[in-house]
Amino acid sequence: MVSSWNSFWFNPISTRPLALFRILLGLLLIQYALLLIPDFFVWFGKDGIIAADTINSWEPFVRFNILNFLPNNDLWLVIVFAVFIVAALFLTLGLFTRASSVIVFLCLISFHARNYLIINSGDNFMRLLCFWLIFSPAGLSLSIDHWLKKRKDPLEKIDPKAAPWAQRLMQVNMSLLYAQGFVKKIMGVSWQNGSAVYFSSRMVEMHRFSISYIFDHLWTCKLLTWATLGIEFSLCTLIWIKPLRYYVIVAGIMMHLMIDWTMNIPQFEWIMIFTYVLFIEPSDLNAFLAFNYRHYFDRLIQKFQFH
Amino acid sequence: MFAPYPRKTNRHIFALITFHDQSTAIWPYPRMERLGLIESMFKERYRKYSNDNIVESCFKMFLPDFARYIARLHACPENEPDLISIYMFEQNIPEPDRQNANFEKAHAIEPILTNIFTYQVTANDLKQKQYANSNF
Repeated sequence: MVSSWNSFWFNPISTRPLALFRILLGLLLIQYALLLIPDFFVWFGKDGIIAADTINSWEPFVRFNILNFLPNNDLWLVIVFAVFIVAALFLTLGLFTRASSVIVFLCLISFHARNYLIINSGDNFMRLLCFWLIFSPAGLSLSIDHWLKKRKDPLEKIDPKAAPWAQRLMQVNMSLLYAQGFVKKIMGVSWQNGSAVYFSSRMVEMHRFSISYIFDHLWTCKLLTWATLGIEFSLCTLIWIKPLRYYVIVAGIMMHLMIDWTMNIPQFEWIMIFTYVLFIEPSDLNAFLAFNYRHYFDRLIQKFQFH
Repeated sequence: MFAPYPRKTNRHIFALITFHDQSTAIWPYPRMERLGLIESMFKERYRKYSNDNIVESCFKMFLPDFARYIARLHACPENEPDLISIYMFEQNIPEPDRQNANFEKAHAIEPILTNIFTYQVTANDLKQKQYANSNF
C-alpha cells in the first residue's frame, strides 16, 4: 500500500505529457489575454466598472493582488499586463519555465482579484493549474530550456524523467472539479428529471450554434442531461482505471466539444480538454509524437496523384 | 451556473440616464445574442458580469460603482447626467411540454421589468477620466 502510494506520487515518469500540457495551457493563457484587450480598462482600469478600493474593501486580505502594491494608475496596470503576456509566451515556449510560471500565476491571480465578477469556473481552474505548474518539471522537455541544456550537455536525455507529484495534483484537482460538478448537479431537480439541457439550451444569451432536433425533443434532452452526469462521474472516478481511461477521455472530449459548439463559454471547454493530456500514458504520447506522419502523408498524396 | 440547476430565466440589463435638463437616454448594455460569433467571444465577460453576478443581491455593493461608470460614459459638460437607473428584463423559460414531447409548443412568458438600482450622480463622480469604448 505504502509502496503504491509512493510510486503514484514519486516514481519518476516521462515529463512529455506535462510539457505538452504546459504548451497548451500557455496558448490558452495568451488567448485569455487577447480576449481581454478590447475592454481591458473597462474591467480593470482606474476608472473602470469597479474601483480598486471598492473591490478591496469587501473581503479584505482574502485575495492576493500585486496591483495593490503598485501605484493605482493605468500605466502600471498595462505594465503588469504586458509582463503577463510575455511570461505566458515564455511559458508556452518553455523559456525560463519556472520563473515564467511564477510570474504568470501572480499576474493571473491579481487580475482575477482585481475584478472577480467577470471570472468563471474555467478561469478559476486555469489559475489552480498555473499554481501547480510552478512546482512541476514542466520545462524539462519540449522546451527551449531543454534544448539549451542539450546543447550544453549532449549527454542530456531526450525524454527526461521526474517525480510526477505536481502532475498528479493537477489530475486530482481535475477529478475533484468533476466530482464537485457531479455532486452539485445530482442534487438539482432539473438534472434528476432530465430537463437541465432543455433549460440550458434556452438561455439565449449563451447561444452559439443550434442543434435543433436534439434540443427540441424531450428524449434527446433527457439523454444528454443524464449522459452529462454519467460522463462527469466517469471523469472523476473511472478515468483512474487504466483500461477505461481513453474511453472516458473520448466521452469527455465529445461532451465538451458539444457544449463548445452550442454555447458561448470561451476557453472553459478547452481548459478541461487540455487537462486530459495529463492522463495520457507517456509511452502512448511518445508513439503519437514519433509516428511517421510524413510517410502516410506522402502515400496519401501519391494516391491522389495516381487517381 | 448550471449546478445544482441551470438558470430558468433569460435576462438582460440596461440603464436609463436622466440628464440635468430632464432629457433621458437609454444605455444598451452589450447583449450576446445580438453579437456575431467572434464579437460575442470577446464580450462574453459582459454577460458574466451582468447576468450572472451584478444583478444578484450578493453583489449589490458593487452597483454604485457600476452606476458611476455609466455616468462617466455619458459625461457631458453642457448637460451632465443626474440620475442613473439600472433595469433588468427577466423572462422565465417555459417548462417543457411533456405531453407532446415537443418543446416548440411551449408558450412564451411575459418578461418582467425590475429596477435594480437608482443612483443620484454627484459632481465628484464625473471628475474621473472615462474609458468608453477603450482600446489600446
